[in-house]
Formats: sequence, C-alpha cells, structure tokens
Amino acid sequence: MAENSIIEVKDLTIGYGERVVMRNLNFSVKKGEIFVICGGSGCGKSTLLKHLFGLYAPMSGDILFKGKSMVNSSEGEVAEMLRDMGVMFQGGALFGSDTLLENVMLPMQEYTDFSPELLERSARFKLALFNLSGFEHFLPSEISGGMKKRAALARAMALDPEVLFFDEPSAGLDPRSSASLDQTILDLNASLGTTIIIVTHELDSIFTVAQRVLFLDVEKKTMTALASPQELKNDKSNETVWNFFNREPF
Amino acid sequence: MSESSFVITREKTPEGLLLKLQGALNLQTAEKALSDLSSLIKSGEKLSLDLGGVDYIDGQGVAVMIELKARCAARKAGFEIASKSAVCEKMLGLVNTDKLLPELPVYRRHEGLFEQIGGATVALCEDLKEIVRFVGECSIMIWEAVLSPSKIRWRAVLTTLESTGVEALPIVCMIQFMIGVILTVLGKSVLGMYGATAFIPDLVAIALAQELGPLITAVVLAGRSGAAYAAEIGTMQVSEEIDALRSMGFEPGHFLVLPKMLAAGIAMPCLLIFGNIVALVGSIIMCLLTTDVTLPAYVREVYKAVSFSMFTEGLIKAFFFAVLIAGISCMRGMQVKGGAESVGRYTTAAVVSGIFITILTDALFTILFHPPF
Repeated sequence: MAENSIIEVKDLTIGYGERVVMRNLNFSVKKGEIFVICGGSGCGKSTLLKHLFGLYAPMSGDILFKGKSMVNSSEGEVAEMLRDMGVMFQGGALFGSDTLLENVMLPMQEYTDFSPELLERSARFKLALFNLSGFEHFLPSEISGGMKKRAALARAMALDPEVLFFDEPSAGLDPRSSASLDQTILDLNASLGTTIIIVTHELDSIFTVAQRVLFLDVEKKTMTALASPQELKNDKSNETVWNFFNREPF
Repeated sequence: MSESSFVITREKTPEGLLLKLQGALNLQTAEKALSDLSSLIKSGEKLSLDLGGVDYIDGQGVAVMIELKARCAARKAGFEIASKSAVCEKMLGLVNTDKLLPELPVYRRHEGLFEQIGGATVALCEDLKEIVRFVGECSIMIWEAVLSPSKIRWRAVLTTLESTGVEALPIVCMIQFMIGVILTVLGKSVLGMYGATAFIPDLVAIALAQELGPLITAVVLAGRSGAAYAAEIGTMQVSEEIDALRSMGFEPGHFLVLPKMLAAGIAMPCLLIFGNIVALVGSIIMCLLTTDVTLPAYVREVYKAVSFSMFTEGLIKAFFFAVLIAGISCMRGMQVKGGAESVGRYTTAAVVSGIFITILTDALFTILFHPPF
C-alpha cells in the first residue's frame, strides 16, 4: 500500500454488463486529501465513485480501503468499511417520509448505542453545521434543492466518517450556495481531517477545493491525468485535459 | 475505525469540580463520556472542563458538550469549558453551540383522541370534496371526448387496453372459475336439503350475471390495474413529468386519465363476459361431478334463468365500475406529493377507494334496477 493512502485503486476496469466504461485505472487517495474526479459528461465519473464505496463490483482489478480489499471482502467486512464512509448523492437521496432530523439520526440509530438525547443533539449539531437549524422537522419535499444537498451532507456526516464521497455537489446550485458548499468542504477537511472525494465538472469548485484531480477521458476510456488543478490547467501536452480546464469549445 | 481511549481525571475546586479530559471524544467514546460526565453533575456546583488533553473531537464529541451543558442547566449546576486544545477550538467554533442549547422539543408530537378524530374528519371531508371535483372534471372530459372522438389518444387507449384487459384475463378467469365452483358447492348444500339441486344452474347464473360477476371482476381491476394507474401517475408526479406535460400545454387529465378510463370501460365488460363463461364452466364441472344435473339440463336452466335485461344490467354495472375505478385511481396518483412513501400511500388509497366506490355504486344500481319500494 502506498504510504499514507486511504484508498488505493489497482488495475481497475469498470462497466455495466459487457460494456466497459473505464479501464486500467491506477491511483491512490491520500488520507486527509481533497481528491476530485472529473471529466466530460458521460465519462463514468459517478460510476467510478460508486465502485469506490462498494456499491458496484468492478469487472476486474481491486480497490483497497485502508489496505484491505473491498472487492475480495465478505459483505459483512464491506459493511464494516462502509461505516467509515459517508456518501452524498447527486439528488440528495433523502428519505422522503422522514424529516431532516430523522434522516440524519438514522445511521446513528442503526450503528451506535447512543441515548435518544445524544442522538438528537448530535443530529441537530450536524444540521446546524450546514445552516439547517430550524428546519429539523421539515420533510425533504418542503425544502429547496440547495437545502436538500446540505441535509444530505449532514446525513453523510452523521457518523463522522473518515472518507466523504460527493457526487456532483454543486449541480443545480446558485453560485453563492455552491461557494458555501465549497467552503463547508474545506472546513470539514481542515477541522476533522476528513478525506474527501468529489465527482464534479464545475471548474470553479475544482480550483477552490481540489488538492489533486483525476481526469477521466471518455474517448480513451481511461484516466489520462492526475495532478493539481493548476498543473492540469497549464499542461499543454495533454490536449483533452487542457481543453477541459480552459473551457475550449468542441 | 481504530479503538479510541478517553480518560477523565477529577480535581476538586472551591466552586465544584475541574474535570481534565484526555484522549479522543468521538463516535466510539461519546456515549460513555456523556454518561460518566453526567454522573458528576451536582446541583449548585460548577463543572469546569479542561479539554486541553483532547487530541480528537468530532461531531459526536461536540454533541456531548452541548448535552452536558443542557443537563447542568437542568440540574441548576454551573458549566464552563476552562481550556481547549486546538482541535477542540476548531470544532466547537464551527457553529454557535449556545443556539443549540434550548431544551429539546418533544421529538414527536402525540395527538389526543379528539384531535385525531377531528383531523380524520377534516381529511375525509377534503377527500370527498376532491372526489366530487374530480368526478366533475372527468364528466366534462368524457363529454368533450364524445363530442370530438378524434382528439382521444387512441394509441394510449389501445396500450392500456392490453395491460388492463388482455393481461388481466388469466387472473380474472382463474378467480371466476373458482367462484363458479364455490357457488355450486354452496348451492348443492343449501338447495340439496330441499331436493332442489336442479336449480343450482339458476342460482349460479343469476348471481354471476347480476352481482358477483361484475363485483369480483371490479375488485380484481381495482387491485391490479387501479394500483398500477395510481403508481404510474404518482411516480410521474414525483419526477415532475406531470409538470412537464402542463408546461407543454397538455392537460394531464386528457393526456393520461381519459385513455385509462376508456380502456378500463372497454376492457371490463369483456372481462366480465369471459369470466362469467369460465365461472359457468367451473360450475358445470362441479355439477356433473357431484349432482344428477346433466349438461343439457344445466344449459337449459341457465338459458331460462338469465334474461337479456339481467345480462345488460351486469354489463352496465361493469362499465361504470371500471370507469370509476380508473378515474379514482388516477386521481389518487395525481394527489401524490413528495417521494416514494407518498406513492405507496396513494397506491394503497387507490385500491381501497376503488373497492369502496365499486360497492357503493353497486348498492345504488341495485336500488335503481330493483326498486325496493
């Protein structure tokens, strides 16, 4: 295992059925890093993310979480690993019949033996972290898209995971909400040391939060670059990456 | 997550206790820490916390601090954080924890009996109002369709006809076959006591043509197609497809509901005819096996017993049941708000309302066709 890496991807090939989406992926994510996966629409960013937290099984290759294979582990072992991960889905994926407070409390109720008071205090704190104080008893259908994203983030943070996965966090948000979310990501990383893996193609967000960026090329069906966002923007040797980071039209 | 350790050391001070906390205050240690710290709260004394030795604190740790402060306030004890490590300073500074301090509100408000009855009554009245409005809208829609049939989406009618009619045929026939068998067995046990087994065909045929045939077929339709209509439209509601239709200038009622009502109205009488034939087959088989009634005698009795008006009464009922079930199921689908849970709730409501409205209409038809006064 590479030194200080929390997730390591080895010769990974992913896809659906017989169709290969990405192949020969090799990279590692360092502990405490903000790591961005980007690429053009439909290149397989979200698919890769779902493989990283064990939702899908890869066609071949391996994913190591803290040195342990997720691919070759039993369901129970993967479930144990998932307790150290939090996921914020693109649309929030909040449970519609539960209030925001209940949504955030759910993972804690399942995985801890906290007293009801501590459960609720903790859930309220998580909601307050994302400026949702006062909305604890609202249903997801009663709040805006940006608030849903923040509530989803609060739920992803419920167990204070070591790794947080974000699928298109800024999608559909206004610039200020998007900037606030970026700031929250930076704060979480700074205060808790949480490793954060983000799938996005929002350049503003990438330049604000990313420490390293993995670029997936839809044509070549593999990763073609892994560096800091500034390095990728200035690197003219890779035309696809340069075009992407400099917003060159097709 | 690796094992975490957490240690508390006590020191008596003139005002109360100084507690030195060391280690990690996180998911693993939070509950025990809260319980240990709470046991040290004494009324009238001050609890001072030294968090200088806390090398890791997460959201659960902050929640412990907030709850501890609330417990101190409840027991009229003082509370202060005397010193903090850098990590604690960062975490506790993320939000204004004082704002989170007020007493936790009752997590779920429990309604009293009268509130529940009142709420249910209001909901029922609202529901009835909605049904009346929807029936009115559907009536106008049907009338407009009659005036200009070319505007009906016939392709959608045919597609729905297949799922509502053809695909429902096996289950309707299977159920009706068993109903025929059951009626025959019951008829034999009752009529047999009076030596009147020859009238079993009359009993079965009249019951099927007038009452049981339309009723059983309607229940199957409500459970099968009604639920499907509600779930389909409900899901469209959740995924904003209904809003998209409206934004394109389509009237969802005309676009979605009318084809379903027409398809159900056409399919149901056909299902009834097929179902009744199969039910008679079941009855004939049972009669031949268990009674002296012969096949020619059975056919003769059925022919004598069932008049044309009885037959048409059943068909008319079947048509109205189907249109009402389809309409009310679509209405339930339109009422969906929110997410998946709402779709489930209104799908269930569609089946229940469909069966209820069927029985209510059946009672009205029975009074209309056979006036008791």
